[in-house]
Amino acid sequence: MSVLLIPATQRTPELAFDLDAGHLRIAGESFPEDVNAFFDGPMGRVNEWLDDSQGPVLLDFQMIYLNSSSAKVFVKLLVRLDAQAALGRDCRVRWWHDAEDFNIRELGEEFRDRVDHLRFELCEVVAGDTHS
Amino acid sequence: MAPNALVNAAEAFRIRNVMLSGEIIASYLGPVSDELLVGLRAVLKTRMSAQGADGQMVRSVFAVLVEQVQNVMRYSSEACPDGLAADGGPALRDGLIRVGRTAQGSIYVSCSNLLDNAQVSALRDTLERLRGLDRRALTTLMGDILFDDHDNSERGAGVGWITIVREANGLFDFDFYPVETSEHSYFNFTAFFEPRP
Repeated sequence: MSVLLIPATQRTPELAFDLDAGHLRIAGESFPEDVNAFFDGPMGRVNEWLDDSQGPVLLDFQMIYLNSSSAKVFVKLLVRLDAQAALGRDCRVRWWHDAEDFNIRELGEEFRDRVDHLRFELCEVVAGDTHS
Repeated sequence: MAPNALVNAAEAFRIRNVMLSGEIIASYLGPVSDELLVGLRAVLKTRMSAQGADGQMVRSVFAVLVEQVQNVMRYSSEACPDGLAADGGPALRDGLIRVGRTAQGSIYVSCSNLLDNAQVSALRDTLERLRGLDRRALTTLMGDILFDDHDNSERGAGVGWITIVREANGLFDFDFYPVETSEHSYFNFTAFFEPRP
């Protein structure tokens, strides 16, 4: 079973990577002091899985807050998925944002406009919706 | 016990009054860390919400605080002289943080730290390039750097400053104070947040 689950802390997001199902979820707040120390291991695992598999990928971002160093990590993942989508893989990203949080929404719009091949959807969080 | 000018009630009261004259909501001088950010956020959220700030304002103030404090962690020239923290991690670096309110009612986040003089010119150039850019232009610039240089962590170093200026909708100020008889300058950066109508 290829499931990687790292619970959220006060400054790192929950990472829930169900690789068998092709579902990646990153949720919460992200401002670790050493972004590489937190993300390098899990992202390395995702990259290996992307290399070794061909099935569809669904990536859910449900961020409350992310700092600029975390944004760099997320962009690397998006670029990687976009390259896979360019090769014909079914890659879909859902960027969840609170209705009141125009900052997260605006960041999602910017990311959406920068990818060419994957499906990137902006989704408004409805109260009580866990969309996991 | 060695005398220390700061350790008496009269001096403490004087410092308190200086702080309050600047409408300080919270302030801190000393080694900065992520743990400090978590604690500061909790008290700022409570205080700012009680004073009527909306959720977006609280989020923006915190976002700027994170980026500024993490800049201090990386670039301040003041660090523990032993080079390493007690737990063997990187040395904590020192900064001065103030969150307060201007006479016009804007919230401000101001951060200061000591820099090597050799760092001043490049930082000044980075920040001057962001002057006059509106939120849309800043968001586009951030996207440019994140996507075009996603393999180059060095060139991406300006994203933190763009994030700060974008959160503050372009309202910021900064200056450097050369510290006499040293190779350092004291750097101060302030981001302003106007209340939404």
